Amino acid sequence: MSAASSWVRTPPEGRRKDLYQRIVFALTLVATLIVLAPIVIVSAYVLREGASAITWEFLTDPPRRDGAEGGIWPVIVLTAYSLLLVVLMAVPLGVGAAVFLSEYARPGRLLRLINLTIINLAGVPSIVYGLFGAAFFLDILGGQKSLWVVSATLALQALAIIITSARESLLAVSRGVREGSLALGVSRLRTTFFITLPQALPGIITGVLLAISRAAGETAPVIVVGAIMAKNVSLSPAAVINERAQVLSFELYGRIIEGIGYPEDRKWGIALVLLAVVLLFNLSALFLRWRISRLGSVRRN
Amino acid sequence: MAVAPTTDQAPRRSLAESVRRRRTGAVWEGIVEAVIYATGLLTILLLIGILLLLGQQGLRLFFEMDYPVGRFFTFGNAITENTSDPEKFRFGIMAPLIATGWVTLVTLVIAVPLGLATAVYISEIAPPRVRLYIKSGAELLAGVPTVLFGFVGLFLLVPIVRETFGWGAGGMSGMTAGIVVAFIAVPLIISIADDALQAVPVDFKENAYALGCNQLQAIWFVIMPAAISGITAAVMLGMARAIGETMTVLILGGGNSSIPELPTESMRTMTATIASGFGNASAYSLLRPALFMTGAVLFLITMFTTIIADLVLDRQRKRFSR
Repeated sequence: MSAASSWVRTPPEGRRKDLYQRIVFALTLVATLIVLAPIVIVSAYVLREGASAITWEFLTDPPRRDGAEGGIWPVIVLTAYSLLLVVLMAVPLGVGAAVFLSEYARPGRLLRLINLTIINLAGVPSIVYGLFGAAFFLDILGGQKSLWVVSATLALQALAIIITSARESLLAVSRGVREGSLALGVSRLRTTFFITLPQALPGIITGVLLAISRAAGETAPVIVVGAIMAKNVSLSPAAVINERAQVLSFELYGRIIEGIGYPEDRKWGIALVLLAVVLLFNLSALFLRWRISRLGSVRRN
Repeated sequence: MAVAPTTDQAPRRSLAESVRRRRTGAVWEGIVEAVIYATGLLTILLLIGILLLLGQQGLRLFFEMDYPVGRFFTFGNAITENTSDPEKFRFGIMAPLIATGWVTLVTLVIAVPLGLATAVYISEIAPPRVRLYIKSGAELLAGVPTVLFGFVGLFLLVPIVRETFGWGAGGMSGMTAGIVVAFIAVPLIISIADDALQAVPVDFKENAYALGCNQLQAIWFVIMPAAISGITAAVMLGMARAIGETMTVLILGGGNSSIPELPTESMRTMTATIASGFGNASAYSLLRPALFMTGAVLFLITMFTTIIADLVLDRQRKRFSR
């Protein structure tokens, strides 16, 4: 554009227009940088304040003196159990629903209604999932406040993300592959299981990783359904049913609210562990998606 | 299936067998397919279940516990105390509702210009590679747990607000919360607005250039108006996100339960009221159903916003679908 303006003598008005354009474009760049700044600020701040608390003892010891000393080992283990449980509950249901939407449902009112439902489920505030979890699992099913109730609530919330991403990656599998299989006389279900799903798998895994990352960071529903602060309990898998929930996000929130008497650097240490877990899943999802898009472009050529 | 039968009637039996086998296979497949159908319908069941259960738990407040409906919707405070006496219970949804309104307003005032400017930058100005990086960055931003935003905001932003403006309770106010929530809502706005801008056919832009527009004019007078449905939907979904956000407003809002007259006051939104009150709400107090009722109102507001946003988005989809 600058080359053109040196060739043709732009009238002053035109030049002013270009100046406006430059200013506006510069402003959009500034806006972009402002939007991205919080990631850097949050990560840097948490790292600066929390790094000193991260020791082997902090990560692998049970808490002593109400958590003021020792470590957060039980919280880490129970968080892992909870995320595993979320995957076990949400993935079969979510992928099943996605298969229904992409392979079985015919275009029409029902499909439109279910798609609208999923958009709505994704938009339901997390705290409402918490209320639903408390009412359904505790009041109606009569469960005790425990880790599995928290996990089940988080799994319901994860459902929308998993369905959406699985549906998109199933729909992205080319029609020809599917039709080729059907033309060989393979039933629709077997085509789905042996042809379509394997091809869509990387995309599905991306969605699952994102859902895990969300579930790990989610705090509001955990508060509502009920969790406790770090406590030394039995860590066998039976803890899922027998023990109250201890998860990283709630541990962090509780320590902020409790405030006094808990060492500052330990609070940030918990924040750092939480951030690390969430970013780990998030970045692996992004990496996987990036790999898929590259593979996709190669395959197409 | 693999080994061929060795009897003399081999061909006929194997045919009959293969038919039978296909039928048993069909039974299994029928079962699995039924399960798949069921999971599809489960989503609808879940959404309806949320609405029904919240309503059932919430309406007990009026029908079983005799709390006046009018008072719930007009009383200007929302005190989360455990009591089973309808006379003493001072809880109305007005104050949390207005607090949510203020925080959402602050959020949108910040997030909409930032989000749309970013969407225009990545969709129209930046090279494709940069676009990919920034989209990934926005997604990362969306992934940061909101409790961390609240915590970092409490230590970084609240002292600044307290010393320079003196808003709310020691720097904690609707405004403070809204500023932070803006960064939580912005990734969603960017993602949907970017999709909307990308969906505008290239011809539009080329025609604008042919008519002598420069790039900015093409964006402002042609591309953005063409994408207006998608942009509206982006703003509405960002709004729904802000309304539903809990942790940051709980940590940074200040927690005053009365009606806030200005966004700079300490306040407690609907989500924060539920989160702070539910833990100690006993099963027999009025508080528990009152919080469920608040949750039901919250649910209806976000659902309504989401449905309208989807209808608006559908308009754009139909317009540009080939």
